[in-house]
Amino acid sequence: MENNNNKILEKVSSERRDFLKLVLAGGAAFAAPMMTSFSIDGLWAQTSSSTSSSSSSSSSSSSSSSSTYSSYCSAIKFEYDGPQGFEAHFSDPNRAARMNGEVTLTISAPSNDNGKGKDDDEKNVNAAQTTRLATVLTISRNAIVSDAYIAVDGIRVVTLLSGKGTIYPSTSLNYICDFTQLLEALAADRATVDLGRVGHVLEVRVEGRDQSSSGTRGSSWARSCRPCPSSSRGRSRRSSRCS
Amino acid sequence: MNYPKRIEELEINPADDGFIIYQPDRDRVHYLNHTAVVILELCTGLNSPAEIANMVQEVFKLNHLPQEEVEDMLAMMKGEGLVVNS
Repeated sequence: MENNNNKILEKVSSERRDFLKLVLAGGAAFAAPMMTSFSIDGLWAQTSSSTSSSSSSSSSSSSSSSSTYSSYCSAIKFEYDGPQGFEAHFSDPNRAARMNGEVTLTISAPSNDNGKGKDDDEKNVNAAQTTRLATVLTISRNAIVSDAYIAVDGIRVVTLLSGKGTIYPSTSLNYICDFTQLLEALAADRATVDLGRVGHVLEVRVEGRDQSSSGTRGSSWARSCRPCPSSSRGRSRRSSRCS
Repeated sequence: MNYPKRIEELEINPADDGFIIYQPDRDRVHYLNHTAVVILELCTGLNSPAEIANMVQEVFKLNHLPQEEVEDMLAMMKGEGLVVNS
């Protein structure tokens, strides 16, 4: 690729050559060109891609004072019997331009009515296949975040906001096997939200609360997120609830 | 012929998986992946879209000519005011 790069570099001005060299030196594999544009005071993250393929994610509206990004990520097999909604609030105390925000996780499963007349096992398998994790990331006005992740033990496992302005599907739950593991990590206070800002990454310790209750703001995930213990995973699918 | 040219005063900042461009005069922020940035940098006003597509093919050693992708991206960049026709 070196010769090809040199030919390309000759096509740009000397002022831009070093920058392009830097871009090409990374050896990044080809990906369809993609550009996401949004207003600095934006209400929406608008994704533009030259390819027709897209994720199943979507952007959502926000209040007039913040930017909101949201999407869904489908769980593959998921056994969980805890609260179905959480909020995590954060702020950046180290910045002159203060940034506040929140991450909301909503776990949704199909209603039991969907499986009327079916065998219990089949119903539970269907539920496991269609359980979804919806995440909304809201940041304060004028706060610019290039990307955002949930990180567990310092390893980014879920992308809340990427170049596409969306959450990756569940297949990109890198280094983690399933949502149960993710919830266990959140419950154990091992998770942070990493917010990429120009020049640095802000690591935010997630402190959330159960949306379904009027719990104290700032209570920990450990109090609101109670995944089934690992030992329950091998049990019959006749019941997906923890004992 | 159309020879796209990137506007001069763009501030391009590396991000985690791409690059961020601020356009304070338009109140816009753009996130571009590597391929899009390469396309943008090749908009010198001297290269046609077809030539840019050829260069992208060369640099990434592609089997196909990414003409459609390049042209679509150029249209988006023009729409956002990142490039102009020279």
